[in-house]
Amino acid sequence: MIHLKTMRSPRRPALPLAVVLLAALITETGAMAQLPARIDVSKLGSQVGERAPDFTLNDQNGKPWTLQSIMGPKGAMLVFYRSADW
Amino acid sequence: MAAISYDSVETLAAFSRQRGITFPLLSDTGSETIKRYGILNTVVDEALGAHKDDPAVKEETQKYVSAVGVNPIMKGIAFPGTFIVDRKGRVTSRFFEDFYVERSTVSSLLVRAGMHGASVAATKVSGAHLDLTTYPSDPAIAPGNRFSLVLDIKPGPGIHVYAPGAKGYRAIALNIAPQPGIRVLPIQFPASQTYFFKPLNEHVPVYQKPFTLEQEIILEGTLEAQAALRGKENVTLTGTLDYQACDDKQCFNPASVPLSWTLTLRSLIRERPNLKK
Repeated sequence: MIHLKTMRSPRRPALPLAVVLLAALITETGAMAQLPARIDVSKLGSQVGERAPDFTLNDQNGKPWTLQSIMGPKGAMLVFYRSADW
Repeated sequence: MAAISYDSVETLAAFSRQRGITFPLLSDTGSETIKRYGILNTVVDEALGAHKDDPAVKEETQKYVSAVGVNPIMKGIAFPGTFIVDRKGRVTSRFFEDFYVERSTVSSLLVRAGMHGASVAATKVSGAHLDLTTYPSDPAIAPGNRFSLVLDIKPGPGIHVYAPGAKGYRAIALNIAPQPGIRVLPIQFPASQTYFFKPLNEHVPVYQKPFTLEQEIILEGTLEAQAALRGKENVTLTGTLDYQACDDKQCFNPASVPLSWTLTLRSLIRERPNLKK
């Protein structure tokens, strides 16, 4: 039989809740005034179920393509990448 | 499929010629389409602007722009990501990674979207209680690639194998041997069936019908990881599929099937396209 010992961490004195909330509020307001919003890429742009915007863009051979023209039998895949140049 | 960036047609022409790319690379110079898709990379502007020394901006630059820092030529790029749309133009799935170095390969996205088939050489294993066919989403991978190992598993006639959540039994698991430079992501197991095992009067989660496991793997793309891979031609992953099978009368001993996958290692393109060629 294996006996498992649970380690007990030393208890730290808890700050009164009001002080904790006040500290959080001060940091938050200070942050909102100065920091830019953090990015969540999953929330950017067309979401599942929404229509993807139309476009007309030239490819590497100068041939124009629209969203409709790249469609295959099951739909299309659009891969956005940073650059081919660097 | 089409790939979109803010590069000029001239750059894309040289790039596709020099790299043998045949699918459309669309030129969105001016980033109008990128903006219309809502994915203009705003981190670039932050990193070039008043907040450039902010630690949060520096962290986001590492994640979404470049490991070697920002440059004004980067203004107008998209956040890297992929949309899969249906024939009506509606988005059916989207994949936007949290680190630009790590991108799911196109093939692995097709696997995740449920559109897959063994177009690469697959390994078939016939066991006492199940048959399995396994193949990687990509036969060749580059540093930073997020790809999949696909296992199509078919329990034998009258056989079921224990699924995750089956307490007291060896639930099916794919154990990939750890190695430096490889990150194994947790598997999202498909929905299981519930089996009523009469001899013990219990309900257990099992797989009876054929099912597929997708094991996602990231080949690390940091500069250190790339240095460690230099000179290597292949990456070999090994592991075991561990499971326990039963029929309607008895359970068999847990079994372990050794598996391995060897993928060709591609290096990242480090040179800019030569516009004169």
